[in-house]
Amino acid sequence: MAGQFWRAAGLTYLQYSSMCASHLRNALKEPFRATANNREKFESSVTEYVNGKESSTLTLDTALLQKQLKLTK
Amino acid sequence: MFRTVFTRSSTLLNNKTAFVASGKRFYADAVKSEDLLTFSLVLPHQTIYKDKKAPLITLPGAKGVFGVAKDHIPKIAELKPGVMQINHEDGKEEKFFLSGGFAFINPDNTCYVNAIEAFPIEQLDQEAVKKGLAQYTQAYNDATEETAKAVALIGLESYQQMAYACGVSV
Repeated sequence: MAGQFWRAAGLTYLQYSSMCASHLRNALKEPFRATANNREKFESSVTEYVNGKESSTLTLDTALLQKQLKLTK
Repeated sequence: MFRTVFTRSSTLLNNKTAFVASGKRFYADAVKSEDLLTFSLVLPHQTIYKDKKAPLITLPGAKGVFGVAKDHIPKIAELKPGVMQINHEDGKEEKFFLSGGFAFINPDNTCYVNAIEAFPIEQLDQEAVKKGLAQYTQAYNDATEETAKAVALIGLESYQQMAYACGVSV
């Protein structure tokens, strides 16, 4: 369990720290857990336009983060 | 007699000055307010303590647990998930679980602890911790790809620390 193993695996500090925060929020008793998880919710999207037409849209939200956390399941 | 033994041993060690300097440290009978550290514990969404005085705080550093009292050497330390203990002026101890962040120890006897999430350890759910620990131990053992292994290890380390904090046997 060396120091910054996550960085060696290609994760950034922001990814690492948000994962750690998510784990902590998920391990709380109710009602603290619900309050904390509500705070975590966010949604944003990135759309790329090519020649005035929408070429791709990426939705970034809590569900994606949660999915990333469970990458290994 | 006591003094003789000490004088002799310190002479033997040829380190008398160092002994005199360190010899000043004893258990204090009362903490004076000028001997206290001023610390702040802040989260992005909440300020738990602002300019609070305390004799000692113990932080979960990425390279090991360390305590901060007055006159600590200035430094910036990365924190990993773990327990932060605050020894209050009145002798009470308070424990928070931090998810990670940074501690800034300033030259003027102040310390800023910035964390992403921090909760009193009483708010940790033992059942959830037990479940999470089992889940991520399994995930870590199953993972083969490097990123997956790292993600599982982050979960495993977080839950191990939480298990330790809320008294779940690992």
